[in-house]
Amino acid sequence: MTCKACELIENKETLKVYEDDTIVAVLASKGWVKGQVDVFTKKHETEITKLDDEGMTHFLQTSAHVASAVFEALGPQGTNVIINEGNILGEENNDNHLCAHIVPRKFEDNLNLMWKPKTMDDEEKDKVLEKLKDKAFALDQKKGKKEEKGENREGKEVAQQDEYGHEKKEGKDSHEAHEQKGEKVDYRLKHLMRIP
Amino acid sequence: MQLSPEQQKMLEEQKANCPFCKIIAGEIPARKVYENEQFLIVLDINPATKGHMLVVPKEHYPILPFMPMDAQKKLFVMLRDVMGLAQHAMVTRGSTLFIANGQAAGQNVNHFMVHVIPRDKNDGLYELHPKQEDLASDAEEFKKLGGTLKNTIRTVIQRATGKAPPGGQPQLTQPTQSREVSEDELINVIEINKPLLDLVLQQPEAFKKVALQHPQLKDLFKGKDVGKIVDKVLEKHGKTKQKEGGKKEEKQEKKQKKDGKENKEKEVEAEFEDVKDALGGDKEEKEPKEGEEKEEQKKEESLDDIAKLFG
Repeated sequence: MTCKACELIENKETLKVYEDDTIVAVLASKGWVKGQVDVFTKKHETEITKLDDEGMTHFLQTSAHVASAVFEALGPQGTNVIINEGNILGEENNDNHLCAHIVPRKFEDNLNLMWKPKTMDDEEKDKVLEKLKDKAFALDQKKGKKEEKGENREGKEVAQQDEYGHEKKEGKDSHEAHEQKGEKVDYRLKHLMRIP
Repeated sequence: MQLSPEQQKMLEEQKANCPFCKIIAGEIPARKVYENEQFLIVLDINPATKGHMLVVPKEHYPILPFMPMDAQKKLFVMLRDVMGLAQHAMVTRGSTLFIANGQAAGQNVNHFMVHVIPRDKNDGLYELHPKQEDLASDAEEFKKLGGTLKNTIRTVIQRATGKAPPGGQPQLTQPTQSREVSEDELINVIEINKPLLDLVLQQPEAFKKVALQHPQLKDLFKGKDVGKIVDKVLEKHGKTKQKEGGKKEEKQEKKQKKDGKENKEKEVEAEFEDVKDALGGDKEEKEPKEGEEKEEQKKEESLDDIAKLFG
């Protein structure tokens, strides 16, 4: 079976609102609500966990930019970013090409994306917590492996310093860019008015 | 982002009342899965499925766009691993990442966070999968919407990264030339052009006049309520209508009237000539691209001239 998303990406008629080497963003012709944008990986990826650091950040960063753009261009009161990843609907369903849905939201849009909470007693919750905690070391491990530069690991000191310096510079630049952004955009300020 | 003292106060007030800031500070108990310097992962108290986690930045950001880019990067890499954890620990085949920016999107607490929900085929969470509404029934509207979004996405990426995104520079001029720009887009144009923004903020009255007479700007602002646009920009930056500038100008005008009407008109004409000359080269008002700096500099100089005129 061919993949619907791959077909969509290859189709010249598709209304692409953004495209680079690895990502395509498409104005959804089917979905929740007008203005919804679907961000796809160009390559037929189905598991988010298989993306490398760069691929992952680029995919989500682009999705975040699209969400900001949706705020600015369409002036919604909120946005949702939703990624359904893996074989949630089973192997036979071929609708698992990695995709982030960016959904503009308004109070009166009659959409309900919220789940019904599952009732669980404390004992059950504690059990789940133990299961997760048991494997949570994976977060540290991966972090150590993949972000060596950031962690002060001993050993390859010289090479690391260079890389670290480089990394730091990047961080600063993007932070500046963000601040610049902050000066000029302010749909965000509306969200300051809310007090939890 | 730059906040005015009043906005800063709002943010502080929000933080002080924020249950998640209290969880992070240890004042409210929670089932903590993992914690490092920047992030805390807790179980959601109203889980969609078993193992539903919240990845919470320790810093209080009301919504994702408040979060600095470098912090976002760290979060994104971590999210991949948290999704892996969800599947690994809960033995599922997939997971859902869910972000709500704003109450309208279902955000109940004004502290930005990301939901990671382990998923199974029979969990019944259909609401998390896109409906199949036909959103393109009005082909023209659909196309127009696509054009607007395309331009805004480019603007956002360029602003955030300082680089023009790849592809599409040649394509870009077409939609911008052919379609009419909305007031909101004009506001955006002002917002992304610092010299223009400065002029609007400092000399709103001057800008109103310039916008309708300047060779490039006048096409953009033709038939628009410049006053309203200026007011909106001022409002966005926390300023109300600047009476002072207007008054000063009036005074100046009166004084100049005394000095001789003719004289003043000549002067104005001469100044506008200067502006025309200086701005003559830049054709891209809407999309500052390569050579942006040069253009901006030029504009800045010329706008200084305008500023002097009305100052």
